[in-house]
Amino acid sequence: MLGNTPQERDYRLLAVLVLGLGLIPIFGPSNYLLGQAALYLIWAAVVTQWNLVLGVAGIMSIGHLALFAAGGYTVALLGLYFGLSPWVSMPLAALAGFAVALLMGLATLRLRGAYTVVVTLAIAMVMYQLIVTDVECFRKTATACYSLTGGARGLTRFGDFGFAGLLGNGMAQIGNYLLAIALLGLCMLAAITVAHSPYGRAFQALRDSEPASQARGIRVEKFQLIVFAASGLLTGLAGAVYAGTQRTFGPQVLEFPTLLFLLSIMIVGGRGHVWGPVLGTLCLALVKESLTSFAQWQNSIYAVLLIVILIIAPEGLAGALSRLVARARAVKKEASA
Amino acid sequence: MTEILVTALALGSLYASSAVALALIWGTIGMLNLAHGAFITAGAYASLMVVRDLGFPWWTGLLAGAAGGAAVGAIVHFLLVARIFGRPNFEINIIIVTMAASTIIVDFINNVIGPATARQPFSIEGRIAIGDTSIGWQTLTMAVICLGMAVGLTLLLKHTSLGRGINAVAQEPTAARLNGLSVGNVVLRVMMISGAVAGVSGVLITHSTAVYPTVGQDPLLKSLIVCVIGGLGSIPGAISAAFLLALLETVAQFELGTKWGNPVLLIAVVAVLVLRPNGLFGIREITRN
Repeated sequence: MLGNTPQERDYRLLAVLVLGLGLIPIFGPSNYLLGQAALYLIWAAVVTQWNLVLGVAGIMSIGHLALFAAGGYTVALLGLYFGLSPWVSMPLAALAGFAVALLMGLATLRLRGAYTVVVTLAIAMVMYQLIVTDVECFRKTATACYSLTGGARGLTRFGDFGFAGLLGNGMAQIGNYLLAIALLGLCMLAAITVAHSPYGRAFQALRDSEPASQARGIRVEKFQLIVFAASGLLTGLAGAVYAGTQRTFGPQVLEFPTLLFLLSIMIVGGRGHVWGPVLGTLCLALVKESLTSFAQWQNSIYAVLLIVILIIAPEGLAGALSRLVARARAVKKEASA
Repeated sequence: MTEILVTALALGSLYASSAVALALIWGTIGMLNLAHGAFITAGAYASLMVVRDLGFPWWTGLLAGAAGGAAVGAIVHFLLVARIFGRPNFEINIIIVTMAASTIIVDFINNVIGPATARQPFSIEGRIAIGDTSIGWQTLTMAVICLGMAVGLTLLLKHTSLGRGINAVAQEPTAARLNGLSVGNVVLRVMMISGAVAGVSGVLITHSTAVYPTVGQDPLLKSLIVCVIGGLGSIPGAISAAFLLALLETVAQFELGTKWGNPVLLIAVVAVLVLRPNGLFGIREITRN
């Protein structure tokens, strides 16, 4: 075994997870299942980045989906008006997420908690309203007239990753699924690295007690901005993968239900824990797929789940699990001593 | 010019009434209430049901709005606030659970009452002339009620024993408890008063628009912006900021077009916060935990 620090353990666990997920298509799951799985993997990737900002770096940003939307709309708009393939526009989407995150970070970094919530939420809501109220005719076809951003209906027919051509017909979903795994792997890699870096520990200290850590000379504003911007890069990338695999992108990603779903993933999984987003996505996906007959109460179910977890187990699944593991280790140590 | 001023005055009084409710909770409990929009919606629907469905006269709608908002405030208090008030990470956790609560309320309205858009059955005819323009009695009534609530709340905080209790809890909950004040009771009353004020402002806001399940979302955003500019939890600050921002928004809408109202407000917020991180009228910082 190579090293046994917590960081190395996390990397090893990630490698096992990515390999395990990557082998699933061998067992021939249905296209529907692969499609849903790809979607959940993308949401998990977004939550890893949001969790890095909100849970690890302690920046109370509620507008994280604005970064996702920036990436997705970059791919959709460039595909629609310039015919660019998502492969080409993906780096630009990441840059768009980066730019929006940088702006958001610069606007909110000097502010205290609740002010940050308001400004980030306002940025996302204004972005949503500008898109939804965009009805000016920009592109005319024989039958209808479309606005620049597609308005409330969103954008479609801007192309996809072209896996049907690359891997053969009927393989497109497998391609999408593997791409989503790669995205989640990349995002988890970044999250693990940041959480175990010296700055991760500085953030931890700052969250535990701001006056105490300031008294010890910890100043993290600069690194908060770096983490925020880097998470914007990967969140923009996730938006690009979403647009290219779902082949549609609309303002719905900026609506409250999406925000609540991702927030539930983060809280149920465990805010501030590296493995929280993966565990939370697994849990919420199971809940969502098993309760399809209550579709009209779906959002309420997530909301109740979130509230209950936050009240009875604020550390979430990852917190409970890590306490179990720690207890098992202690018992083992005692037994061997 | 007069037209802009009259519009801004009407809009400003609406913003003021909805923002003071948010500022009251923020200033006393240190809680950013994202269920504020749901309070507004609950008030609007309560009025709709009492006046349209039960056939009571129009002014009972205001009372129903207050009752509906206060009821939702009490429910949110017993189910959520009472359970996490004073616990670690209260500041962020309360934001998350109130957001979840507002989703449940919107879902409830969608599924139980129905998603259809309705008109608030409340209208006062006639206008009075002011200079070269005129102002509708309805607008004037709205403005008077809104201002009345904002001023009433300020007086309540300054001159009643409940107001002194609220101030005591806002300054130091532990000291308030040691002096024999039931903190839970004060928090409950704050939630109900705020709910009632938000409920009435919900009734008034929906006269000029319509009633639908997510009608509280835009007033929530406006109230948040007003409170941030006015300074954390400051009620006089919220009232002044409400009129300032209403004027700014009206000018932006007249000059640039309707859809630019919110973006201009957002730019104003960011600009104010960069120059004065505690808002225009905020002086001291209130922190919890």
